[in-house]
Parts: sequence; C-alpha cells; structure tokens
Amino acid sequence: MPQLDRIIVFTQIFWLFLVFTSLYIILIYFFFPTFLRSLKARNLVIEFNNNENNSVKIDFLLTQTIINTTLNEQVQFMKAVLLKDFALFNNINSFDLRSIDASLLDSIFYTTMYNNEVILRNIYLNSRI
Amino acid sequence: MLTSFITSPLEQFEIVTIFPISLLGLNFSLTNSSLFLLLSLFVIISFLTLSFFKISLIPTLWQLLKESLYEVTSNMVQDNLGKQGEVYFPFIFTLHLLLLTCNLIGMVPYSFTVTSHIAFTFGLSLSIFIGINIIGIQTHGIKFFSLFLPRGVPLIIVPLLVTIEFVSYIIKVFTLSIRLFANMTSGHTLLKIIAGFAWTMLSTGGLLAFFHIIPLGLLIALIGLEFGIAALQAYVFTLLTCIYLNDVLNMH
Repeated sequence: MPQLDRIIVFTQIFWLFLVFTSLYIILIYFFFPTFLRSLKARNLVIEFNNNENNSVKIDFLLTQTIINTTLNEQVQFMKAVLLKDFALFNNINSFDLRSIDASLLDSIFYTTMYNNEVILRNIYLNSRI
Repeated sequence: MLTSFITSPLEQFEIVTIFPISLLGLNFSLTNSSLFLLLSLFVIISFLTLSFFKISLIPTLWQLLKESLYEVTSNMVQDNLGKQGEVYFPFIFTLHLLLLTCNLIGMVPYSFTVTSHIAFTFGLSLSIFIGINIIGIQTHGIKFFSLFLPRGVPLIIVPLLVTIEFVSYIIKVFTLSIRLFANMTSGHTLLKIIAGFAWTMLSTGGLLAFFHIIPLGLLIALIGLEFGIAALQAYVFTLLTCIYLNDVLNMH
C-alpha cells in the first residue's frame, strides 16, 4: 500500500498544519462575522415580525370582544322591547291556553260588537289613508 | 495494450512529489496530496466568498447551503458541549469544512483523496487528542486522572478497570483516524476494482461486452453511496471530536 510509505509522512503533516491553521485564521477573521451578521439579522427580522403579529392579534381579539358585547346588549334590549307586547308567547313550554282563549274571545266579541259589514266594506285594503 | 491500461487499484493513492523541498533533513516537498489540500482550501475560500458575495436578508441558495452547514455544526457543538463548548466552535467548524471538502474533492475522477492517507488522518487525530488532553488538564488539574477510575468501584477490580479505561481512552485516537482512512481507501479501491471489471468485460467483446452494463450500473450506485460516505465520515469525525471533548470537559 502506498499509504505505509515512511518518507511521505512528514510532508503530509506539515501541509495539513499549514492549511488547517490558515483556514482557521481566514474563517475567524473573514467569514464568521459574515455568517453571524446574516443569521442574526434574519433572527431579528423573525422576532420583530412575531411581535408585530402578536400585537395585531391582540388588537383584533379586543375589537372582537367589544363588538360581541355590544351586539349582545343590543339584542337583549330588542328582545326585552319586543317581548313586552308578546308576553303571551315568550315561553313555548308553558303555553297559557286560557289567556289565549280569553284574548280570542275578547277579539271576537269586539268584532261582532263594533265591526259591522258596512264599515268594513268601506275600508279598502290598498287605501292610501 | 489493454492490460497495461488496467493498473493496481491502489495506484490512485500513490504520492508523487511535484516540487521537492528538503530542509534540515526533513521532507517539506509539495506533493499531489498537498496540492489537493491547497486546492480544497482554495475551493472553501472561493465558495464562501462567492456565497456571501451579495449578502442579503433573503438568502441565495448557496448562502442557504453554507448557513445550513454552519447550523448543523453549531447544533452539534450545542448538543454535545453546551454553553462551555462555544470557544471550540471555530475549530470544530474548520475541521468539518476541511474534511468535507477534502472527501468530496476526492470523489472527482482522477483526483486525489487527501483523507485516504493514514499519515494525514492520524496526524489530525493525534493533534486533536493532545489538544483535548491539554484542555482536560487545564480545566480539572490533577483531578483529570479520575477519568480512568469511575466512582464507587470495589478495590479489588481497580487495577483491571484502570487498565481497561486507559486502553479504551488511548485507542480513541487510533479508531478516529483509522475509521476515516479505511472508509475512504476502501470506497475508492472498490470503485476502481468495479470500474476495472467493467472495462475488462467490455474489452473481451461478444456477449460479455453487452453485459458490462451490470457492473457499470453497480458502479453508479456505489458512487452515490460513496458520496454519502464522504459526507457522513466528515460528520462522524467532527461529532466524535465533540464527544471526546465533552468527555474531558464534563467528567463523571
């Protein structure tokens, strides 16, 4: 094997140390700052973007919560206003049949009492009054 | 004529003196090995310079390649040595880069593999070993020799254990160098043998000449394998250097 020749040992080791040392020095003085600048700049950009992203997300969530609360309040208010007039039907489970009967009777009674045909005929459905 | 073309598969490791320099009885001559070592130094520097020529926030592909190599080495040092290994990072990175480039340049046909010489790898690993010992003695002082004696061992097996630990500590330098040297040498020899086989089949003519396709296909597959081995052995050499350094820095 040519590897086991003895006269080539010293020259190889000499050139190895020469090349290794020069590569070490060149890397440290010229290339490591470049590496670090590139990597660190990118990391800073990523960090900045993350912070920006987080603040936008927090803003968005806050707005969403405010809209939700306001909407709920208004809907509650509308429900209260509407149900005051239709309190009869606000609960489907406890359907108060007697009060429905009473109001039906009332309406029939008032119709037969006061709505005679002559008056009703004079009310036009598409009247502009 | 054809038989003279096929030479010994070990001929590719022959060292040829190009420019003989002899000083004080020592052989400093520029050989083809040192020429390829200088070539790999030149390749490393020019590739790094070109990769970082227009350094930008969004990296170019070459820049990304170099940065991922940097991060692989950096993670290796971080995982094995932790915070106190940061001082040794430039050395480890230089080692990784030089070995990787030498191994890969060796894969070019008709070139010379610098790492396929035991003198080269042994010189490298022996100097690393000496350096590691100096670091260990600097960090731990005389307590460094407790490396050979684990705690809580019965007195009766102490001589045996110290011998075994000492031998396994010394043997590291040999295994580290022989692993790299043997892998590179065997791979290149194998490639040469199979290429010679295919060439012989082709030159005999007839049906055999057609079937030289088979060793040729095998050769191509093996070249892929050799590229993997070239990258892997550089990584393994660097990783083991890290591990040996860690053994010395954080003793049990």
